Amino acid sequence: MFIADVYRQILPGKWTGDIDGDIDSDNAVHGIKWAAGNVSKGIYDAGDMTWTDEYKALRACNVLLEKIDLIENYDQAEKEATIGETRFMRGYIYFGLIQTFGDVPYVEGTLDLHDMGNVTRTPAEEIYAKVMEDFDYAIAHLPAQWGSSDYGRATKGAANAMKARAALYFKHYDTAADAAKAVMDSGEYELFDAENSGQYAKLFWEEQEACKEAILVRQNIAGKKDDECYIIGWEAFPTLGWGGINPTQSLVDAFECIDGAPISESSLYDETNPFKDRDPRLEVCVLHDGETMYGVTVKTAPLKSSGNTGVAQHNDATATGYYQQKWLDPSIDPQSDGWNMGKDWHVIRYAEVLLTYAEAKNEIAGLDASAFDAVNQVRRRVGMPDLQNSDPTKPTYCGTQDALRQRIRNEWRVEFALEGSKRKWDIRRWGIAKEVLNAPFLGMKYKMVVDAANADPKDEGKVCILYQGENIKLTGSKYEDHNYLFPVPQTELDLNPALGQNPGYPTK
Amino acid sequence: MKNADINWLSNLKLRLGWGQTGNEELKDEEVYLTIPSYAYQEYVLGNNLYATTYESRYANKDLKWATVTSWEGAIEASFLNNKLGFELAAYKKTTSDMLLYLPVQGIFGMDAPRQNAGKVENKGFDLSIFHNNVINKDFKYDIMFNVAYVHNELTDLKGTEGKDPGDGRGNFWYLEGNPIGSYYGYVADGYFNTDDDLKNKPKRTGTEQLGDIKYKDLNGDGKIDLANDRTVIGKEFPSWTAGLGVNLYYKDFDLSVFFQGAFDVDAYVNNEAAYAFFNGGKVLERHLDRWTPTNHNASYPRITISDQINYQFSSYWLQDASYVRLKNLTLGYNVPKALLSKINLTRVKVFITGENLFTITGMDTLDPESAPSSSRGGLYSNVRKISLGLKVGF
Repeated sequence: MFIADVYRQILPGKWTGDIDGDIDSDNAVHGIKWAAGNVSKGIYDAGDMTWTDEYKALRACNVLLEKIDLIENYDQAEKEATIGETRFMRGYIYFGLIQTFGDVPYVEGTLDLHDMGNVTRTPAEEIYAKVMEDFDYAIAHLPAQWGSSDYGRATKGAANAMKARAALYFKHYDTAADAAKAVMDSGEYELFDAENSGQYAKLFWEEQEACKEAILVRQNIAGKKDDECYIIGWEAFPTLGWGGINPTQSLVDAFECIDGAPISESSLYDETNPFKDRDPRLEVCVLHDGETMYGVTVKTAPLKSSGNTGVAQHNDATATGYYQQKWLDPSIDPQSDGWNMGKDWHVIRYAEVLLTYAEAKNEIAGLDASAFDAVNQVRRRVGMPDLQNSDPTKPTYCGTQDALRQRIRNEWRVEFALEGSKRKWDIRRWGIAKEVLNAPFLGMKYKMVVDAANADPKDEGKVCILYQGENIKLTGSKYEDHNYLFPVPQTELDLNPALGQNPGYPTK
Repeated sequence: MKNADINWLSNLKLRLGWGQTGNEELKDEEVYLTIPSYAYQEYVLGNNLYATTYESRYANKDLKWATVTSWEGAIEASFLNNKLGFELAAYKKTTSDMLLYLPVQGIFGMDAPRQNAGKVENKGFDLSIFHNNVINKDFKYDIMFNVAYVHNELTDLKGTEGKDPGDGRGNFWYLEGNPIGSYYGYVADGYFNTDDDLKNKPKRTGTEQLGDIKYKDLNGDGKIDLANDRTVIGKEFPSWTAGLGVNLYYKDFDLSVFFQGAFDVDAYVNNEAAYAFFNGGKVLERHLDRWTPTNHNASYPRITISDQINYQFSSYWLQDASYVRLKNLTLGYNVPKALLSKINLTRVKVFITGENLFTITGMDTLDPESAPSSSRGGLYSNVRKISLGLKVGF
């Protein structure tokens, strides 16, 4: 009961999940301009940062660990499982903290008011070691599955998967590969629709709750009072609600063609008809001109005849010419049910474990066969051809470690697009943040031609041709090397200057 | 006094007092907690609502009584047979070990509990003057004027300073030498008017454009940042409050007038009450007076739809909330007894009352009386009311 509250405080998935996290990367910009925040514009303001919520949850974990032995008649196995859950959460929280801030204060027990005086930050490497210890304990003592009434608690698989995620971020590839393998070998999880019967889109709809791809979820039930989930209310495009997040041209271009080649190399790619013959995940992710959703035909041209869905037709309309479609479950009415949904949020899912394994194995020994196998499972699920290193004539050929590395990185991007704060950490881990965030952010191409005969009466004799002409230029972001870490919260520094600020950010 | 034959002085009293008490503000039941308290929440497990619990209040075992020590001196006098008089009281009230929500570091892991903080001092005086007179059998009047001055200062915060955690709205700071309810933010210093300004004057983010607010660089390092360029910019509670009441009685008519005022007080105005297009909303006519290349003396900065660069907490959006307001004006007519006896009533009075009839203030958008409590204009402001009344006695 006590530890369950830590789940409530910390796990992403309430309100709109973590979907907006993708605006802090090169994948998307925010349709609702007021919600863009500062980081997506490249402004890392110490006044915006806070770590109070994390430390509140940590305190709860520490209270539990200190007091659990006082409970009488507590079955040993149950007790260890609860301690396992607690240490899993503690590891998860500290991982998030060191990922964001680097060195942070390591709080081992509950603090008294007097203890606040000389707290300093502990180096991130030391905390990482403790995070791994916490995960190892959790792996050893958590069950593979809980009873159905406890579904949603951390499991052995969740602990291994999270350990793999943390190890991969800090480039400990052996640990990452081993932890990922433990999840793969456990037999508990598999990709949803692994044999590709065309159901991939449903992974993000409500009907797929508790499928075997979900390793750790935050559940919601429709009609819940607190922390209710309103993903669709928020993301449904302007005709029926707010604007959600808008994919950039960069993300749209990242999806390969159906022959397994990037668009720059594929003979199938037609720039004037860009959504034909592409990776099926593109259609799942991006809502574009001509599609119909919730009874509205989407037109994105910046003309009055496009109605509410056209570029710049009102404050919350798309800035890029694309809308996100991944989360738009057609069975949910965006104006009513969309504001209080039962959709569970995947904190971590099996496809991530496979890509973690593939990336780690490729880094340890380039072009390792098991790396190919893992990444190909993710590709096969949507009908994309396997990557291979045997036939150089095909576009799926990866002849060098770096070639496979680039393809795996792209796989991360297209598999997890618009799903939350993945890309923003991935580009940091790969060291490409500076390049991609400083590059211009572009929307779709379009050109206006005068054609009074064919123009809609509202459009003053103009007709818009999409996907030709000039890209829409967005404000974009920026990134400097020191933005690898976020600044220590200003309120904390004001109270305790001994914490010190991260390099590159202003100090007193 | 009687023996001394000073018949212009009807009353003279001197008063001196000293007292010390424990703090009486225990209306918040959780002030003197001895054990931590827990609250309930819910989470979904197994696709069902599941009750969870968390520690909601930290029990500060070191709490002790706050002590209030007050000194007061007063003089009360009236003259000419109580026609004119005054009372002047000066006081100094020191609260030590004051119970405040002192700011606490995030790593503590709980919301800030109350602690015995330090010393707060309230010094001031209250003056009231009254005068009444009967001119002839038809006309008399009385006047009452009172004014109060208070100087509040946190004299000792044990070396801490920081954001007031007890205030949900934002930027009040506890700072030694300043009052409670001190606004703390950047100091605005005009706009970036020319490209030269943009190139040379200190900037906060580097993405500023012409027409954005310029701030003072308080530590002279060429940049504007949270750590070094904020200071106390105003106060929430007025230093001076005053009231003036005048009652006139002429034959069967009476007129009473009451003014009220507050001075040396500031109110912060933001969000819906100040910003153009806030939260996807509309823009107001007064926003026409915004910065443009030809209008450098504007009331509002460069208008944007969504760029929040000018909405940092600063003296720009802080307004002087001093005011004088005609709070109440009542004109009444008492029907003469001669007429009443014919209809068997003892008393009939008709009156017309106006409340909040006019206000003199520098604030242009919100009600200065309620604005310090709600910067977004969320409190329903005082309204002008005119009412008619009839009082009948049987």
